[in-house]
Amino acid sequence: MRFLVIILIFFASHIAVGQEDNKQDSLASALADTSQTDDMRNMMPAVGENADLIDTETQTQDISGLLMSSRDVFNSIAGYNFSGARFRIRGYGSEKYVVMMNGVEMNNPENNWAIWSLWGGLNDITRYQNVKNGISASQQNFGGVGGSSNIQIRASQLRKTTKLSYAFSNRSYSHRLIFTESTGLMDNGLAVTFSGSMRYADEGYVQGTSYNAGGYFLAIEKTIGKRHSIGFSGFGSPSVTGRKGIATQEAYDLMDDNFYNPYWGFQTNPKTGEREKRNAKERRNHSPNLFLTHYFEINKKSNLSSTLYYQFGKSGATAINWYDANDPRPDYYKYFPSYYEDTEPEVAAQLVDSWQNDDTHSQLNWDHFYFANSKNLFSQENVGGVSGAIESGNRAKYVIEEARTDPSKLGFNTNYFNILSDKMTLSAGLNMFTYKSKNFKVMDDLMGADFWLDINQFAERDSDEENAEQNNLEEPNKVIKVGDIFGYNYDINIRKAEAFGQVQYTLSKLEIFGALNFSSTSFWREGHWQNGIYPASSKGVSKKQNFLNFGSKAGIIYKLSGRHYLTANGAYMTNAPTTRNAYVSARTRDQLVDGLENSKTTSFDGNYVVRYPRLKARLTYFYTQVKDQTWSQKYYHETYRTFINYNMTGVDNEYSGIEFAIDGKITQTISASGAFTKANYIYTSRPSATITADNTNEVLAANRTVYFNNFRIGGMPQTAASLGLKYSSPKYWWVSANLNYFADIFLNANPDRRTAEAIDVFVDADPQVEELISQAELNNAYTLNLSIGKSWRLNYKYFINVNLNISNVLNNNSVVTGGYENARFDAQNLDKFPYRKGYMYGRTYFAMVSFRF
Amino acid sequence: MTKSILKLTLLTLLISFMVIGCQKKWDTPPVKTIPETSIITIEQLKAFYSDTAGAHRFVVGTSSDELSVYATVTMDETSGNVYKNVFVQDETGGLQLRLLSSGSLYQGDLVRIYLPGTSISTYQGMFQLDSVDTDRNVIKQETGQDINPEVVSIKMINDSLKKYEGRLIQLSGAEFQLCSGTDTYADKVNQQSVDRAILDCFGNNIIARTSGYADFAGDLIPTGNGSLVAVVGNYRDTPQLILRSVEEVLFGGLRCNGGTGDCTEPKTTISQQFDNVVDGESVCQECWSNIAVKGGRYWEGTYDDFAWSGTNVIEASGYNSTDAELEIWMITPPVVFGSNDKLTFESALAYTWEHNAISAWISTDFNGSSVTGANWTQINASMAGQGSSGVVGSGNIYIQDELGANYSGNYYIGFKYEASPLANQTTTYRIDNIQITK
Repeated sequence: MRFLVIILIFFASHIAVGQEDNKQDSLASALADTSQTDDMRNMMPAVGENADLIDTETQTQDISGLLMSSRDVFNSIAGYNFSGARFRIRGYGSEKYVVMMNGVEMNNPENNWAIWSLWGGLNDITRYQNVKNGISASQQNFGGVGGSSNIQIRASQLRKTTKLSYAFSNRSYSHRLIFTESTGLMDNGLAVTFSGSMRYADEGYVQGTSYNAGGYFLAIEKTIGKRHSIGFSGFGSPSVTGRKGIATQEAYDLMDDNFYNPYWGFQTNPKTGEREKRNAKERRNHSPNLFLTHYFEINKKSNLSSTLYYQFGKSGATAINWYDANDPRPDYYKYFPSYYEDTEPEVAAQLVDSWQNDDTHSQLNWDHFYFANSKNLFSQENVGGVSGAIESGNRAKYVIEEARTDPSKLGFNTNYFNILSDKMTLSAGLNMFTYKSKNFKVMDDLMGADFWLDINQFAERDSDEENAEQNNLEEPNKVIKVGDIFGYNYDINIRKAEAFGQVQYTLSKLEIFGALNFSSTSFWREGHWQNGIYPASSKGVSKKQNFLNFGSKAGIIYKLSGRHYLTANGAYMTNAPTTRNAYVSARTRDQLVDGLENSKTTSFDGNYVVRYPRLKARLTYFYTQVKDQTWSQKYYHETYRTFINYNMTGVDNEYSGIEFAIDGKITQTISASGAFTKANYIYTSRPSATITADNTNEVLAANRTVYFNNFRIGGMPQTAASLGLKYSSPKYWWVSANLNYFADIFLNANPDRRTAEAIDVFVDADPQVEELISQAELNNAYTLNLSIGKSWRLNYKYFINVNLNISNVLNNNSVVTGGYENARFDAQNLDKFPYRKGYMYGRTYFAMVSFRF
Repeated sequence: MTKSILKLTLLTLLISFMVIGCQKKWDTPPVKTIPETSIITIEQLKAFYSDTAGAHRFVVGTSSDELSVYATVTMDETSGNVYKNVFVQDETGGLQLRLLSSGSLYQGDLVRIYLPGTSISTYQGMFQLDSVDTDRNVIKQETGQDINPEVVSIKMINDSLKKYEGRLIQLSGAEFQLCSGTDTYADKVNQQSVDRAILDCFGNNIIARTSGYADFAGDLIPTGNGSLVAVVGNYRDTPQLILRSVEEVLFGGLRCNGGTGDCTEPKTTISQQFDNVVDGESVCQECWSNIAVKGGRYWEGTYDDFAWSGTNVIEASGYNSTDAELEIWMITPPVVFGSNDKLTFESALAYTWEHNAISAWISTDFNGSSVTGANWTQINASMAGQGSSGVVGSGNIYIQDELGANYSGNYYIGFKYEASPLANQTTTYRIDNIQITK
């Protein structure tokens, strides 16, 4: 006890600030419930809708939502308190977790990530998750080394309730309304659940980020006889959100705002004359999922459930594009004073003034785009390849285009469970699906111009080949109007079949499980257009790539006593390369990365677990190694002066460290908790990189060695700790505070800088070598969160919960949570392309009131 | 239970320290090292050039050419006085670098110059390292390592040009040769380089050459005496100073002759024998203006043993000129009017007479540089001309006759020479012994 107090004082004496708590959900609503049993924890709302700070097309990798629903003592503390710093449990990305609904894996087949936005706003439904931590036994799926989670969408299993909640926040959205009605299994054998939600913000915490989203969920189940029932579940979460980007420190300093967002600007409304904010980068998603399931209780000891599932819809991201015009982005490196500091100081001084006082310079200047588009008369001949076809009018210099990846997936999943004896159970499952994503660009807004010409402007500039600039040789020089498809047009097809089997064996002091998994994956690209740079490899169905994979895992729990357990788990599995990383440049051709192979994962962990009614603790050592991954990125390369595709093979990672957590009641009303992790998430190989120019047919570098060994995986704290105190009053209100600490946060390293080629003009005595090679470490951070809540119970059946969660109570907004080195670099002048960083939000709050009856 | 907590906590801390201990340093690609023997000095670099074989090119890939020089930038392109050039220096000497592209090197940068791809040569006698690619050949080590200029005298530079060539030096007790007092460092209007003479008080002189593109090209040269900082250049074995920045020319003290050099200070008397003019060179007398209003010729010094029998005089001539018209003025410094002021001067024909060319004028509003911007009144004086032989005295000219007895202020006397070379009017005239007494 004294020991704990000493540690508390130690932390308290270092009080500092700021947590960017980007969980948008009603985390507190469950805490408001005073019963504090494991059951309540199990039903904690999930899903963190994470602020998108990274300027890429990636969706979030954070799995905080999954964690908060976990019963595990470490994971639940981490889920609530660490996600603000972009912490990842054991450093894993979401591809190491399998997220399921009704036993059907929902991870995106193209990159294996779990996409939480698919069920955004459906918190009342997704709170019912069965979460497994790490290598563990799961009856629905083989799972990943990070664990698995199965969200309950079966109407008869969703508890009977009527719930209405309203939340008010200043994070990504301002208002959220959710209504859920669930009948539970009624006497007539029917169960219906409906949930609808709305999330809205005119502007979130960061300027220029609007939020408009809805959510709907319907589940119906009907029992047929004593053993069968049929259920239908369907849901969708349409959303249109304005994104935010991160910037360099110079931009933040000029704007005196660590949350400067370069993606928006003012546009003058022609009718009212007022200037309105408009964001060029919007995410527009609506991808509904439908499930039709047959539940068969074969006998008291076994059951079989089979699901037919279907996903469809669209996913798009808008962006600004330009031709023969000045770069419209306010944070283009040549628009900064630092670019002119040494050569023309008067220009530099002028730019400082523009940044600080002229929002047409520091943000997008929409009025200018319309103006430029209104006076660019152009006549294009041979439109569409038709001789004599001429289009005249204002040719757009600036447009808003939408890059779409529209998914469709049809699959079948069946899951069998049998209690073989009082000691042994058997689970088995079969899953197969066919998936296709349609990838293309569609014109969203011509901004006052009459048309856009569909040509590849970089190929036009760089290539000597005739017709290299045509994106579609069959319809060259096509004139594009709003709604037309242009740029590229191809499908990615994936077919997968997998089977798993698992046996669990229980003895008095021992529990053992073992499982095997086999899968066959096949993918190919189908291009719909023949383009001018790669006429032979762009159109048509590509060769199918086939991979066979298998996985094995086993675990043992040894019960020292009823309260103390020792557990050990191990797994070995292979995974097929993902289509996102397998193609050199899927937009232009079907060329595959050389040396594609399965990645191999080896993992084990050892745990010591303590479970008393008033005290829970766990100590873990974990080790995971993943070998032979492929990695792909496209960006503008400074030395080659063109867009390039950077592909690496042979990328190995290692994740190892310890976790410790403890949670216990000190008195009847006061409980304390603590969590600590210290780990190494590193690269452990020297990958081989190949650089190909995107706009000409050139291989710029082949099999270049990247000296990446022991570089840290960036963008997340590798050490984290939390101390919490909670007071629960017998009068059904509670208050809690958590002090958190994050350290060992590194900037993501640019592999191209860690090559012999990058330092070839230097010798060891030159200071540039150390500058180029070393990996930047970011500052450690402390955060303080507060939560308070109260619940009432009326007439024994009406529950009202109110709770308020405040993150970064002290409003410190100078904590850097991550960032990445610029892919472009000038070896002689690293400051020319400084790294971009993202800051933790200042003080944010989330307040919710809910009625349940 | 408390025991369990304690045990767990201690175990955690133990394992964490093990994990910390296991953290390894990040990977490094293979880096080249430079052996001691491949670092050379500027002096050793210059030794690669031979007068017989000429320039030495350092070839990429030839192992004997894999050499580096460490040096500090002493002069960069910021002032515009040099373009695509910088000067660097180490303990053994200074060197001019000719860059392939402008920019990126600044004064005070300590750099490692990697030689392959460059060549050491001379241009008009001055050493230079040519074809320097700032991306591949120059690797900055540190910035802000300014070198202090070496304090030397003009004589030291003139006597040991090879030693000081390319180095940063400081002169003290130096002054610009003062002519009209309205000279600029260079010709900014036409963007032409101009040489200006710098003198010390011991009779030594050296040229400072400034580019018409320098940011101080249009500034008036200071007329006092003091110190300056420059890099020593070499043009056909003649030293040439390249000024680094106008802020480093601190000529604020009294000149060698004790004067302030302020040509706006009016004189009370004039007694000009032109004894120190240089034969064949444009006349430069302290605070006298020698202005070509038309054509490209000036009053020049000459040794006359014809009319004056052996003395230095000034001369204007249209002979062999290709200009259509010549109009050349020699104007006195401002003189304070005194009611008894008397002007006398002497003129003479040289060679045959073709036309009358010279005349004398007076102005009260001449600004020191613009002849056409001032009002001139002709003075009735006796001048050499048709039929004159030998020295012609002007006669006594009383200034009050021109300006009135009550005039108060300054005045200037101007001597104009006019000619039309195309019309064969090129007569040569000479003037000497200009006196104004009170």
